[in-house]
Amino acid sequence: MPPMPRVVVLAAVALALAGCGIASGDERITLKVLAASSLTEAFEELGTAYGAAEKNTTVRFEFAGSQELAMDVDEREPADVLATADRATMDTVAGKVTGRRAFAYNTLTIAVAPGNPKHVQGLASLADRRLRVVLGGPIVPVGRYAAQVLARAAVTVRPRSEESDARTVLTRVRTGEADAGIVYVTDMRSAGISASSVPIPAQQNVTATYFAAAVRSGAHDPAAKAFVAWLGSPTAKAILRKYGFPTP
Amino acid sequence: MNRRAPWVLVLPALLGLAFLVLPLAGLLLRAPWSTLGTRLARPEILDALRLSLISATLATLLCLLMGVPLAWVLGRVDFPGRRLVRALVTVPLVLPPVVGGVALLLALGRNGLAGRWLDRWFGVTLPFTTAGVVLAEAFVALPFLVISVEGAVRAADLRYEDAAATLGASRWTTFRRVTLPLIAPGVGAGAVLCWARALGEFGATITFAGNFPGRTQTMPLAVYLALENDPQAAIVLSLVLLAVSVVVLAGLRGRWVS
Repeated sequence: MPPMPRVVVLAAVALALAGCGIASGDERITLKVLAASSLTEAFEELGTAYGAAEKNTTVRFEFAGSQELAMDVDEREPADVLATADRATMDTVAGKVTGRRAFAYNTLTIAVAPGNPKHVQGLASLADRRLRVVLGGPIVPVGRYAAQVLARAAVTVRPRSEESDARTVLTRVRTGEADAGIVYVTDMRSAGISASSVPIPAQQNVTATYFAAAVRSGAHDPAAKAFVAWLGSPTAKAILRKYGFPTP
Repeated sequence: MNRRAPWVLVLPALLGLAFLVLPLAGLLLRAPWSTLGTRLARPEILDALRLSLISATLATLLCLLMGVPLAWVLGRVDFPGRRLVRALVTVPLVLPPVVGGVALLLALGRNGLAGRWLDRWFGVTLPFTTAGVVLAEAFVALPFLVISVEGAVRAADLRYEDAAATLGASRWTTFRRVTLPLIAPGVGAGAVLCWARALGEFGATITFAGNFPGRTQTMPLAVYLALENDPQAAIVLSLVLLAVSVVVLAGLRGRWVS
């Protein structure tokens, strides 16, 4: 890395000092939001929008499989907001969160290599033993939804691997290790041209419901509740829809 | 000499000891002792245990086959770039295992440098297979064996080999009948370390081989995943791994402890 010009450094210092000046007026808050991996891009934009609207609040995210995040809330680290990809995962921490609400929906699709070289036609194709299929694990929301979808279609799949979140399933397809994987429709956007998708017809598909809640032990209780409530605002809904998530 | 140890050293030392012992105590205290037997006998735990033992043992055999000759070359043959080769051998030791897993995917994955040809010519793909687990474990464990064996090779008295050579033994015979018995303790210790490292491997395994019960889900993967839905099972699995570690330590006590 080339050395930073001194002017830039000085400007940064000046800005930092100015920032401190504002902060002394009222309290600056950093909200820690744990969010399901499928929300990555949408929540990053939501965080920016929220930071612009609420000048004193900075939102920091951690993205992972919902079940991992729930475990974090349960055991490990302090967090302010939890956003999961299903209700069951939120239920596992029911006593530790408050004010939960459904804020977005999603549906599933089959991710395949670009151009669908294995000619996957639909869910029935996934039963083929020669096809390398990767799914979310049995306690991972995307895996649970996939199991529901496959049960509806009466298709039995023997996955090669069970991944811990939707994005890892997609990565297995993108890198070519897997021929197909069941992910959220919205995930495909993040893959760009590195994956194609085969739609799952509506009568076989399920609706995934995303829940958000404030964490009780969080240090910024009112701010966390405010963020969860804001997820229902027109601004937040518009951003979620932009990334392909229908909203209530 | 009877000098009192200065408290500035004793205090951090005690802290360090507590730091190492406390987590283990936590594991032992929170273990569901009353239901331990039934939990250990559950099929998913037995599956993970069996897979771990098999894959770690195969990885160790693989490391012995490649590592002992590699250590011998490093310790006995003078060639240009030896220091570089030695540095390369130890890279997996300091590399984060997840990075090792990504590297293995790029080399031996289905679209990897070599993996592509394995798939095309032989129809062999390694990710998502037990063979993939063995390779991931061998990748991270090999340096342990090489370092241990190379030390033994260097320490072995060259005069025995010279004597064998003057008596007409070929270099291969000398290696087999003289050098190998001389370095056997080093090979044994290296193999045990290598096996323990392979048994505990997580990052490279989950990245390269994926996760599926009975096929690629080893004990460490099972511990991590159990933590998410059945913490008690995670503790039980951890206890098993802890017990194995203690046994390994006991086996090596003559060399390091005491």
